Amino acid sequence: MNPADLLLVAPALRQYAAIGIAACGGVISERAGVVNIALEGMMLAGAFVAVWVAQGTSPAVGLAAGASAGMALGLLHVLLTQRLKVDHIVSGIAINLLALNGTAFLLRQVFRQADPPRHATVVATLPIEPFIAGALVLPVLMHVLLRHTSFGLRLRASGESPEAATMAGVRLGPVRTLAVALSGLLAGCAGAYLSLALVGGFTDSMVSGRGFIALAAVVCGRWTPLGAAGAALAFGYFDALQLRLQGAVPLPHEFLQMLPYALTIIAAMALRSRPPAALGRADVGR
Amino acid sequence: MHASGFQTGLRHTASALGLGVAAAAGAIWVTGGSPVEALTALATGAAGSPEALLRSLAKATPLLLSGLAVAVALRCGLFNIGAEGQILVGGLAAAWVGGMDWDAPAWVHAPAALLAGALAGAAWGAVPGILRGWRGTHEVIVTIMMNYIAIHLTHYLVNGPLRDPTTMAVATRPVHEAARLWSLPGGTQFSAGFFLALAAAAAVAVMFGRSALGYEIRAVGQGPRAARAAGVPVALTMVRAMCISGALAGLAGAVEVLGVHRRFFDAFSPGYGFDSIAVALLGGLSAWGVTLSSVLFGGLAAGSVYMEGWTATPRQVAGVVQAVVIVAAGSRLLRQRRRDEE
Amino acid sequence: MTAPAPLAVHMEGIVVHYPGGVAANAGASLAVAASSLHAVIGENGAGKTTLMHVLYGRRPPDRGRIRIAGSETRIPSAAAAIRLGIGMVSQHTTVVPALSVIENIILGAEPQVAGLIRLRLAIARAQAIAERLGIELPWTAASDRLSVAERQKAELVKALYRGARILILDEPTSALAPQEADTLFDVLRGLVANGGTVLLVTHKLQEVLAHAQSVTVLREGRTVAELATADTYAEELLALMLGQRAGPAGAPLVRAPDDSLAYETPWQRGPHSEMRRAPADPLQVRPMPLLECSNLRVRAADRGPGLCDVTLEVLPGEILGIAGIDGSGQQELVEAVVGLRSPASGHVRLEGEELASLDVNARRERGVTYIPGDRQAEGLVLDFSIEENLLLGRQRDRRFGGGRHIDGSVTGATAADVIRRHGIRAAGTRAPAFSLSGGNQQKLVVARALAGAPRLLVAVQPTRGLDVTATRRVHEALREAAGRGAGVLLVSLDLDEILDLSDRVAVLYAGRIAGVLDRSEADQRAVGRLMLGT
Repeated sequence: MNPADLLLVAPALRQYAAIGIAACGGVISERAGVVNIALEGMMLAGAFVAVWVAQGTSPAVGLAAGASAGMALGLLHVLLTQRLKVDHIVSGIAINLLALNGTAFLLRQVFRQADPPRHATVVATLPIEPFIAGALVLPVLMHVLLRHTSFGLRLRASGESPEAATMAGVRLGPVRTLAVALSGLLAGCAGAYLSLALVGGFTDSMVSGRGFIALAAVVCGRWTPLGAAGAALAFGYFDALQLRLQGAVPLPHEFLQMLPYALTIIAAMALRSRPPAALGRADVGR
Repeated sequence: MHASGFQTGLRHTASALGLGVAAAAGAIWVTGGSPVEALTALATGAAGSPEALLRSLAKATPLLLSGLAVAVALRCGLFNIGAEGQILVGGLAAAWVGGMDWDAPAWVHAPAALLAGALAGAAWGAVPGILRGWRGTHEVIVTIMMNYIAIHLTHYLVNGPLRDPTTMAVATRPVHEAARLWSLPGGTQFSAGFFLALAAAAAVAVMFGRSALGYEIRAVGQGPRAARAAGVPVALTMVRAMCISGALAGLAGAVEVLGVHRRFFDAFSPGYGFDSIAVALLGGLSAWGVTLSSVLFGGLAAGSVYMEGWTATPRQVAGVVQAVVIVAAGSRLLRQRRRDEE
Repeated sequence: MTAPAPLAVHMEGIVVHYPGGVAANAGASLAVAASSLHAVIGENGAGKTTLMHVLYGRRPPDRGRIRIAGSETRIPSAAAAIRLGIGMVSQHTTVVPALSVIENIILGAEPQVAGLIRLRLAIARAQAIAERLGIELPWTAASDRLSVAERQKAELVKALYRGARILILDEPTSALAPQEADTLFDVLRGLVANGGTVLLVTHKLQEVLAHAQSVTVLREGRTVAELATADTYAEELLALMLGQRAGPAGAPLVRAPDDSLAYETPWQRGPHSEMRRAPADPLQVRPMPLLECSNLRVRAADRGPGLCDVTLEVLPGEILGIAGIDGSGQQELVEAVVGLRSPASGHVRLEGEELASLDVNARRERGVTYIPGDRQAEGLVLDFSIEENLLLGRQRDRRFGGGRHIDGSVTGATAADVIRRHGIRAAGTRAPAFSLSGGNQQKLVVARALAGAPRLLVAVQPTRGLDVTATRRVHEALREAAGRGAGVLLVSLDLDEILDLSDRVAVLYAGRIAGVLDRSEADQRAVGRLMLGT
């Protein structure tokens, strides 16, 4: 067993990739002022559509389709929260429900998987390494986007004070639409990674809380891309550790599984980190 | 509310539900099914016979209790997304107490088990309440995380210390005869829990109608800064509301365990905690509205199982209906909340 | 009024309806000559701010024409207004606290290469503008460190950075000390001298007469007069602002000691005023103080200074005004007195009894009541009915039930009584608070504070945003309370209000009492100096 194996670098990074990519999506949406608890649903939709499309075409096309599915749900979230002024939490819950039930419905209807094992398999999978590399570079790119570009400045202003941004001539609509669409795209990508690269198929609710872990990473990372990526790395590591330690230590593995969630509560409580000032608030202006 | 408010409420409810059903019909049609056939089966399964009706009411029971839970918290301005976790810990606590070798009479054992469920739920709900009240930590984050902690914790307990070794299923030992709730013989799953849930709805109605606590919860929910300035203990009220909310959800779990399953199965809740959000929003957060909407959703749940059996249409269509209803009903309700934030 | 050069701004027949059908502007017009300082005045609710929002593209008018520098145009968004060279410094500054100063200034107009912001270039440009105005700002510092006056300066630079030639300032001096206001007008005069046009929205007539060349008067959404300031005087402007409703029949216009204008009202001759003056009379025995704060130290609410070693007292029958620039510790003082914030050290005593360990409800039982500064957020629950709002804070009072339950018949009767006695115009006791006008909302807040004859009334900005009639009613209520022997702690950013009502004025600066002035020594200058800590 080589040292890298012992440190669980590879399995930790495999878990990190999904959480980290989705967490970056969470950061960009929430910094623009739109609460996104729908990451889970966007990942699930991405995972399913990727498999669905990859069946008839290639895994690469499947990936693009999965990302687009996530983006479509992102746009739905924009439509509901910005146009129809639905509460952000309500919209997020609805999108999660829609994705959870919609994918289960389609798995049975389209793949005729009415009976167990209820699994849709892909013929060819995608390699994992490019996703890991991408997931490591992405937070840095996001950091530059938010801190040093004009779009990033407008996005941050939209999340802190929509009134001030509007008064300064920033058009909220396009900024937020782009931000949340990008958020959905990244979450869809993360979902497609799960189904096309990591698992090689789709089963019911296969995202199993990773979207919420990503949301947790956003909070623990104080709404910054680098912080969120750091938290996602830690969570990925816990996950790998938990799998490794199953049966090896007297401590029940459930307690290790609880750890990220418990840590998030402690972090959210202790850090007293400040979310974007206008996060989730109904906005004024257009 | 007054007559006109009730009427518009009814109209909104009907249109929200209509939209949801239309979306489901669309999904069935697009995937090559027959919407008419499926929806007919759904209606038959929900209310086609006295037995179907009883089954719907049985399904409505946990939805009513957990729907009230979400409504009470939301009246206080708090989004309790953690009902699912509260249901799980409440169910497990009830199964634990109900399974104790007590030899107590039914009028002691059953209430004790119900109480245990309510207390466990209240404790689970108190955590996000306390963190929100005194630390300002957002309750949505905490309740989501508490759900997962509850899932893993109950999973551990029911696999380990509390597991019944005599059965293959991952479950606790069955609860004692004395701890069980009366239920109708046959397969309807209708139990005394339904009447308990109705009583809870009445209690919630009275609380909001004429108690100081109900008034305080509403004041904190609709005008937190004004409530604070007037000396209403805002943090304490939030904790109280979350405890009541958690207790109601815990009771939902306890009623399912004591009245239907007779033991705690791992992950026995098919997502009641999330369905309850739709129930609460469609019911307009009022006790009687929630009662009506829980019966509707109970019918939807019972009907969709029947539909799946007869037309091979996946029951998840009901979830699609719920998603649409949440958006349609939620957009109307929360617009009111928004006004005073500005 | 014909000018040879095209007018910088020419708005005609502007009509704006708000949802619900209320016309905020009903045929307003505005003509502003280029390179001038033009004032727009009117009562609260006269439509000034709405008209400015139309000009800045925030609210498209339902009808009307706008010409900028002679050419007709439509202004559908703030972005469009900025393109036309219009800048706005609004009433509540729109500086985003989480962004740095320079980020705030360039927001929406960032110098960039391929999307990347060129920060150094931006700072150089902003610096050039600031030097021309003779001001200094910490460009890369976080904006939440700026004082109110600095934030306003940042907003000026922000507008000019976008090339604004027409500058709208909405009540710019409302949160400034008089000396700071003077500095601001120096800067504005410089702008006008360089060809800029400044639109000053205000309700302070002295400012208009001192600094503007011309003035537009709005009343009930309409333009009622356009005058050169050289041709008018304060009484005429006031009469134009108030129109038909001007004063009670036969009441003469009087000049108050502080040079502001008011209609003489009965209280000024009434018995209360004699009683009220009593504590100031040196020949009388000094009464025991009603409220005593000693060495009060309170931790800051936000980033402000908090309270540091504050000692003050309020005598029975006295109105003590608390002046100071916004964020000087007013909130902390008020909350420590009413029981919303516990002091780190020091004492708060009411007639000798220590209050520090008592909560809001216990203090209210002892006679401390509170009129919060923001009636819509802190004073009322807008979705609650009048009846429910009157119950707020008293929901466990035995009078309304047993402490746990609430007796609907008692609360209903109480509400009906309050509506009658305070002349609240409403559809009934069940009418929701949001359906009331601003003045009636404030009557409701005041009525609740006056219920049960309080010993100490703490009033924060009690007339903000109210029209003249409603303001007068609130002032009367405060004077009557003092006349009955209650103490009043009046906190206001409106120096005129403080000087008008107070028997003594205490000035807060950076969390400390900078000085306490008697009515006789308190004037704009003296108080202003203390407000700035000089």
